[in-house]
Amino acid sequence: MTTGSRGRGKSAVARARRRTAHRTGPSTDLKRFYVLSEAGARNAATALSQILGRPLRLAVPWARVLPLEKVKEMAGGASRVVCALSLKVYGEARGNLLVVFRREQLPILLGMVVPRAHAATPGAGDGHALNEMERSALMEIGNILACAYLNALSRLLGVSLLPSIPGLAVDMVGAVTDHLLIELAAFADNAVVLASQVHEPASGLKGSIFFLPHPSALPFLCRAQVHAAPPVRARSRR
Amino acid sequence: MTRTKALRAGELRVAEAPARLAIHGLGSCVAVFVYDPRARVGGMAHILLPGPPKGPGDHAGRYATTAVATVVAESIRLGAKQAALQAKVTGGSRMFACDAHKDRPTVGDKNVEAVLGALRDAGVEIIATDVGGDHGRTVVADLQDGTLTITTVRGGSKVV
Repeated sequence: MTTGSRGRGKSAVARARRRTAHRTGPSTDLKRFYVLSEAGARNAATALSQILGRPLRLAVPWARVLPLEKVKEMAGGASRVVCALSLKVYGEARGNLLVVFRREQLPILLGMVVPRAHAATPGAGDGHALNEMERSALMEIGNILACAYLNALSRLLGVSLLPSIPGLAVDMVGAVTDHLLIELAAFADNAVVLASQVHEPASGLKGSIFFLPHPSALPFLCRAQVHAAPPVRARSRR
Repeated sequence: MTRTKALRAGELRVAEAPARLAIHGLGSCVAVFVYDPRARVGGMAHILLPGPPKGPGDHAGRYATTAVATVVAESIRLGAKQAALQAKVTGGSRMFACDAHKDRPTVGDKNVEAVLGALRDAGVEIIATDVGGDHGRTVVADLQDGTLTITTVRGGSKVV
């Protein structure tokens, strides 16, 4: 059980945690986060699939309340090397977005988006020798995924959400998630994590999207009316 | 077999030779390693923030001021001499460089500053630092000889 609350954000997390602890039924708040996570990922997958010109699949999204010290384990463990794009989310549901691709998959991803003539020498996929074109392509992918993800959330929540310019790093999961923990540690002992994964079956490319709402945004997220099904799904039905 | 204990974010731990303490994937957080070479005991903390918020709180390992004080006190309890303690500090990177805020001190910088200040206040000699940069580090502290091995993904590791 969580200890005494230290502000609005933390008590919301504590409430969410307490609800999951009982396991008597799905928590309403977590269910709501799950809906948001799925809608965001679906939109992001659609966007990425259009850029790549390939069909993309959506892996099972999840929403969980994790103790802060466990957040580093969410993307494959603290020492796994990944390509991470980090964006701040501004608006009523502020927080942080992290888009993660495994380092081994960088050549696959870059092969899809960077014309061969502009690709760096072999081995550039290890991330240390990414050239300007490759860095910019990766940041653009991060930007598009984030915008698509946030657009879906915006529509569902009826508020405007804006992403910052993405930051790019090829490094250990532990190192690229430190800033998330630091931001949360001042307010809470737990983190609400909305996670989803997009998957391109032909090449095996997998990308994970994590949204960590700021503790101050949790009361809003738990209270806001969620407007029906995401329009993406609605369009495909017609 | 030498036992290696990995520290999670906000955790602190003291140990004696021949144990090892490790932090995998240190970014803008800071690791402080305090060691008494004669007694061969010491401790490490994985620090997230410069100082604790107002009011009573636990999580001593999370904040620079409380973590340094606790690691020093616990090391002394294990047999270290206050005057013999030596400290090594690493971490505090800026992982996602953004040109617009280049001149502003990051939370990593503030963490490093707070740790160094807390060590000076505690009267602990700082014998090595490897801070800043834009890369992650994996650090392993060996209580056998007091070395701190720092590995980065760009290849190469160094011992301080």
